[in-house]
Amino acid sequence: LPTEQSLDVFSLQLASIRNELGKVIVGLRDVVDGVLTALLAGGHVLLEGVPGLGKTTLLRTLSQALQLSYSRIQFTPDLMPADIVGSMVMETGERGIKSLRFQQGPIFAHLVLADEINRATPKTQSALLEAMQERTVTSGAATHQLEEPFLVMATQNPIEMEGTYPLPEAQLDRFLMKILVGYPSRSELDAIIERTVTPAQNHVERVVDREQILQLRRTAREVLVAAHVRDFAARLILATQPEQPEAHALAVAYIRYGSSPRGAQAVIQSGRVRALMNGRWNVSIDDLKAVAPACLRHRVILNFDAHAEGKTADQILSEILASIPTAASAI
Amino acid sequence: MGDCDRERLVALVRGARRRVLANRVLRESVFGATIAIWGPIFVLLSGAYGLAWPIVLVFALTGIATSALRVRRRLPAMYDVAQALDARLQTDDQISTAIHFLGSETPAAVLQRQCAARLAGRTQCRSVFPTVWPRSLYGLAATALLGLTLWAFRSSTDAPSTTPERLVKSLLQKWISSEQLVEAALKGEKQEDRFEQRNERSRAEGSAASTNEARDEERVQSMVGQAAAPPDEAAEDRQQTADASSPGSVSENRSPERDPGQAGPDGQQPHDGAPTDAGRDVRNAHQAPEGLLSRLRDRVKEFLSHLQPSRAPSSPSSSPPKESQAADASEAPGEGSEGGSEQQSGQQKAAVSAPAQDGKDAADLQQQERTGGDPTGSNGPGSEEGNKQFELAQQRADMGKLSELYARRSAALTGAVTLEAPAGEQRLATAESDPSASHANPAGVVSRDRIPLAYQAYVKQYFDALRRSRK
Repeated sequence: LPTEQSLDVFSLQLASIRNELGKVIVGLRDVVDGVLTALLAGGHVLLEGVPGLGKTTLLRTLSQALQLSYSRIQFTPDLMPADIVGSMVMETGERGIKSLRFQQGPIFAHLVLADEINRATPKTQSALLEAMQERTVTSGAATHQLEEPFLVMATQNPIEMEGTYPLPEAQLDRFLMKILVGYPSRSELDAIIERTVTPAQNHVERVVDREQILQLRRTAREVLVAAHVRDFAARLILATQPEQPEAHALAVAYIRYGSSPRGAQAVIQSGRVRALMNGRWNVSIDDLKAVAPACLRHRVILNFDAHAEGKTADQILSEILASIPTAASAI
Repeated sequence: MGDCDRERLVALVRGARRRVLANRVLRESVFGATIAIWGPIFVLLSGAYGLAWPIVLVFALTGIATSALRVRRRLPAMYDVAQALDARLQTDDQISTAIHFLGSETPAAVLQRQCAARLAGRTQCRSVFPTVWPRSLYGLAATALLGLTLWAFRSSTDAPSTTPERLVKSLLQKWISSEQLVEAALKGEKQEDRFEQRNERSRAEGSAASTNEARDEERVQSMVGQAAAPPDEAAEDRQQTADASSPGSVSENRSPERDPGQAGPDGQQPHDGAPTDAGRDVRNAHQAPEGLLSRLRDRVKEFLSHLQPSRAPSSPSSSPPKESQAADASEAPGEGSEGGSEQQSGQQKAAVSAPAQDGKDAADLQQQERTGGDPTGSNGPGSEEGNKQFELAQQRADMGKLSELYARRSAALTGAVTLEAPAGEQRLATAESDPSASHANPAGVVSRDRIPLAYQAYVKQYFDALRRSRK
C-alpha cells in the first residue's frame, strides 16, 4: 500500500536511474523521462529519429541500469516472425529419443530492443502484436506467457524510405508513446565529444531490480484521477475523431482516423507516472497535456490534405489541446 | 486528522464559492440594470401614448428576472469552484481531486487529501477571488449616459415645465390622474343627466329656469375649457387678448371659463373639484406621451413655417404684424401653426399680466350673453367683425379650443383628421399642427376610437352644450 514514504522512494529510484543513464546519455531528458514513463506505465515505446542520435545507446544503457533481462533484435527485411517469437526445434534426448521443444525467441526478455523496426516486413512486424498487447506468445498449440515487466523499445528512422516498411496502424497503436529524438544542443554536443575522446568509459551499474520496478508500477496505479481529469481525456480523444460531433475543426480537416480508446488509456497511465514524478498523488490536466502529444501523435492518421499542406500531428494536437474547455475556465 | 483536512478543504472551497457567487451577482446585477435603463430610454424615444411607466416597469422586471435567471443558471458547484481554485493557484488539480475523493478512505486518497489540506491552509480566498468590477459597468454607464442625454434633450424641448421635480410629479400624477379622469368622466355623465332633467324641468317652469340653465352651461363650459386649455394656454389667451386690445373678442369672453382657479361670474368656485383636476391631468396626459421624434418634428415644422411665411397665403396670420396676428388668432384660434404658436406665446405673457381682469371680462361676457348685445358695440369675432352674432362667435371660439386639442393630438396622426361636429354654420380651422391634416367633413362623425376615453365625456358635454346654446 502506498505510504507517505512511497513518493520519496519513487523519486529516489527514478533519480538513481536517471543518474546512471546520465553517465552515458547526454541530454535527452525528455526522451529519458518518456522511456521511464513507458516502463512504469506498462507500455512500449517507439523512438523515432535520424541515425546517430543515441536511440539505441539509450535503450541499451537503460537495460544495463535495470536489473532485468535484455535482448536486442535487429530488424532486417529477411527477418522472420519465428526469429522473434521462437520456434519448435527438434531435440534429441539422453536416450536418443527425438522430441520437439519450443525454443524461445528474443522476445522472451524483460527489455526488448527492436532496432530499426521499420526495416522488417509487416509480416514480421506483426509478430510483435500479440506479445506487446497480451504479453503472450503462441507457437503451435502452446501459448507462452511473457514475464513482467515486459517493455519493447523500438527505434525507426523517419527519413530513410528505401527498403523500409511503415508500421501498420495496429502495430503503432500498441506503443504507449512515440518519442521524437531531436538533435542535441551545442553544450550537449560538446559533452558528447568530450566523453568520446576521453579514454575512461563510465560503467553503468544496476540500480533497480525487477521487484522494485513492479513496485513502482503498482504505486503508479494508485495515483488518483479525478472526474474532471478523466473528462478532459475523453474530450481530447473525441476531439481527434473527425466523425464525432465533438471533433475539432482541424481534426475534421486533416485527420483521417482519430485516436482509439487505447489512446485515452495511454494518456491516463502516462499522466499517472508523470504525477508521481512530480511528487503528487493525483493526475492533473497539465499532466495530460504534457504526455498527450507523445501518446497520441502515432495514433492520429493524417489525410492527404495534411500531408499536402505540411501539417504535422503535433501541430494539430497542440491546437486541439488548447481548445478543450474546462470547468475552471468557465468561472 | 482526516476530518481536520476535510474541514479545511471544505471551508476553503465554500469561501471561494461565496466569493465567486458575489462576483457573479455583481456582474449580473450590472447586466440587469443595463436592461432596466433601456425602459426609460425606450419611452423617451418612442413617447407613444401607451408607452409610459408600464414599459419602464416591464424593462425593470425583465432586468431583474434575467439577472436572477442567469445567476441561478450559472450557480457554481463546489467541485467547479475547486477546479477554478486549482487553476488560479496552479496547484495541479490537487484541491479539486481532494474534493472529488472527499469520502474516499484509500491510502492514496488520504495522502492526497493531506497534501491538498496543506495547500488549503496557505490559501486566502480573498486573494484568489478578489472582487472584480465587471466590464459591463462601462456598458451600464454608457447606457445611463444615453438616457440622461435623451432626458436632457427632452427637457430642453419641453420647457418650461420639465424640471426634474415636475417631471417626476407628472409621471406620478399620470398614474393617479388616469383613475381620476375616469371618475370625472363618470361624474360628467351623471351631471349631464342631471342637466337634462333640470332642462326639462326648466322648460316646464318657463322663463324662470333660464337662469339655472345659464349656470349649468357655464359649469359645463368651464370643464370643457379646462380640459381643452391648460392654465398656460389660458394665460396665453389672456395675453393674446391683451395684445389684440379687443375687449369684445371671443378670447376675452372665454377667459373666465378657462381659468380653473378663478371664481365664476357669480363669485362661486367651480362646481366640482374633479373636473378642474381632471382638466390639469388631461393636459399632463396629453403632453407626456409625445415622443422625442414627434416633438422634434413639430419643432422643425414650426421652424419651417417661420422660415416660409408664404406657405399658407390664405392664412391671415402669416403676413400681418404681431398685433394683428393675435387679433386673427382670437378670431380663428386654430388657424395656422404660426398663429397657434404665437397665440400660445401671447397667452403665456397674459397669464402673468392680466389674471385679475379675467373675472371682469367674464362678467362682461355673461352680461353680454344675457342681454344679447355687445358691451362695446364695436368689435366682432374675426371675419365676422362688425357682426354682432356673439352666440356664433362663442361657439367658434369654443370650437377653436377643441380644435387645438384635436390638432395637438393629430400631430401623431397622418392623413385627414375628421372631427365630430354638428351640422351648421360652424367651421373648423385647425392647421395648427399638421398642414397635411384637414377636417374635411364638419358634419361627419368621428370614430370614437380617435377620442381618448378620458376626453369623451368632455367632448360629449361640449357638443351638448353647443346644441343647447343654439336652441
